Amino acid sequence: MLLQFSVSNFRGLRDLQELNLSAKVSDKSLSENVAKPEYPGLKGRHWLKGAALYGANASGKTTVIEAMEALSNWVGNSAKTTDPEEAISYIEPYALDPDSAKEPSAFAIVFVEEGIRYEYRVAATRHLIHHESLRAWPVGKEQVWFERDWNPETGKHVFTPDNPTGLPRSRDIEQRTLRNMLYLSKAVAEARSEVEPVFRWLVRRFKFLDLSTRSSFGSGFTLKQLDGENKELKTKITEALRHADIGIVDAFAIEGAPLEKNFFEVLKVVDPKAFAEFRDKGATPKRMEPQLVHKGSKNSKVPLNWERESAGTHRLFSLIGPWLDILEKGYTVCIDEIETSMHPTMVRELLKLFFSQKENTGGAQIIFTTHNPLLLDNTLIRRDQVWFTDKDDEGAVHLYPLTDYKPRGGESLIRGYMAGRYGAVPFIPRGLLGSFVPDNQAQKGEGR
Amino acid sequence: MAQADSDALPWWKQRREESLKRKAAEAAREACASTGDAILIVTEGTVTEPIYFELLRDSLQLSTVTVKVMPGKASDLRRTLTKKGRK
Repeated sequence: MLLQFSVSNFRGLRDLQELNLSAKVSDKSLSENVAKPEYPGLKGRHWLKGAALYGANASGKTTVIEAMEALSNWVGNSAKTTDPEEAISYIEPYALDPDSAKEPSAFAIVFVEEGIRYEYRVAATRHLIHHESLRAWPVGKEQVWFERDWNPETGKHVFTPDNPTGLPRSRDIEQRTLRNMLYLSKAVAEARSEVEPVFRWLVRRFKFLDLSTRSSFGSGFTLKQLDGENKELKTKITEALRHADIGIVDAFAIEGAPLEKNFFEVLKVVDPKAFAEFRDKGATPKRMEPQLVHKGSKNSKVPLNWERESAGTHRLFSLIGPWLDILEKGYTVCIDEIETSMHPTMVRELLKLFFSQKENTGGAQIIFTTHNPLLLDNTLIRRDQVWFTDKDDEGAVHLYPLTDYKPRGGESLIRGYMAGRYGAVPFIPRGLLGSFVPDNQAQKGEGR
Repeated sequence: MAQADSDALPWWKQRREESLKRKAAEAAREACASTGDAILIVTEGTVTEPIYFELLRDSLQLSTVTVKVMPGKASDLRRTLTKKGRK
């Protein structure tokens, strides 16, 4: 479970910005939306099962998610580094200030895996790791597992403390960790099992789904589940589709039409390796396709061709499989632009699954970006679950929670948001094509 | 001196609040936080004053207040605010 994420000097984010998932204990609304585990050192605290990031277009919502994804991918891939001169591609300093490129980009993340809280921090420029540290709280007291700092005088990293509690030092691995490589990743690659839970959470249990119009999020995963062995999951998927009120009564994976001959002509050019594989097998591959059965008139059941299903149905079908998988496994998932191609009511229902005590038993968590004010509804999300992003006059992104504001008791959050009361809405006073005050009049106005 | 040194440390090296409580809101945000009431300003001028207000709104980037300029031909408040009084 993610507790806090901090970042500075990454893309649009210049100064330290923080996403904090602690719930206000005194806020008794929607108690199912909070988890109440008793983590060592954090007794009596509640944590949010989800957070919504609101903001205008190009305000930095996505950047916050991208920062988390960069950290996750970097930890996952860093041990593969073989060249100490290679630039760290995940580090992208703030672009609008020339001095920022020389400064390290920094991340800190606090999360819980298997009941133990960890804090992992890293700061680096594109060529050098300046700082890396890992702390753990297996009991109430903090343990510093390692701290690694660059010493410019010796041109080496210095590791502290000398005798850490929790993770015995391994000078051999320290020596062999390149200056642009993460020690955490290296330690895992060298089979130090103590740090495996940290790696596992950051790399595999911290998920990113891109549903934006740019992405081609496919139906493959759900399809595989429908075709697979897990009967319970199969039933759940069919159930969910049935309840979605899009007239679906059943779902199967069927063998689709055989691939056209010219498909192979194309494949030969774009992916010769895959083409060779097909050719070697000597047979046309089976192509699976979703088959949804719709309710027709007079209780008839009508299977529809997958190509004829609507964009929304495609989206829902693609999403439902991974969604149920995430809930079952208790992942923390980040989703950019959750409402793409989906009706707000559908998004609502999908979110409700996360906040339901019954469905979300594994401690799954969702962090999503959205424009949709309809989700700012106090029967769906709590006030402390809402965050905003906004850019200042120098183009730097600010991330802040709704709880910074003190909305009146019965104030409609939707109206407040749309009126720009919390910032984070576009400033377009005259409409997109609106005329501005003519220059000569503007000068007169300023002159006085 | 030691104090000054630790202040100069970048955030990722500093000892940080372990409780993971949310930080207090920035002063500017807190100031904006009280929810506003509608304020009606009636001006005599039909050209200059509306321009003042529009420019003020644009140069201050006032997204937390909605400035609506409603030209009217009547000087009577009630008539301005009813449809008949408007242009």
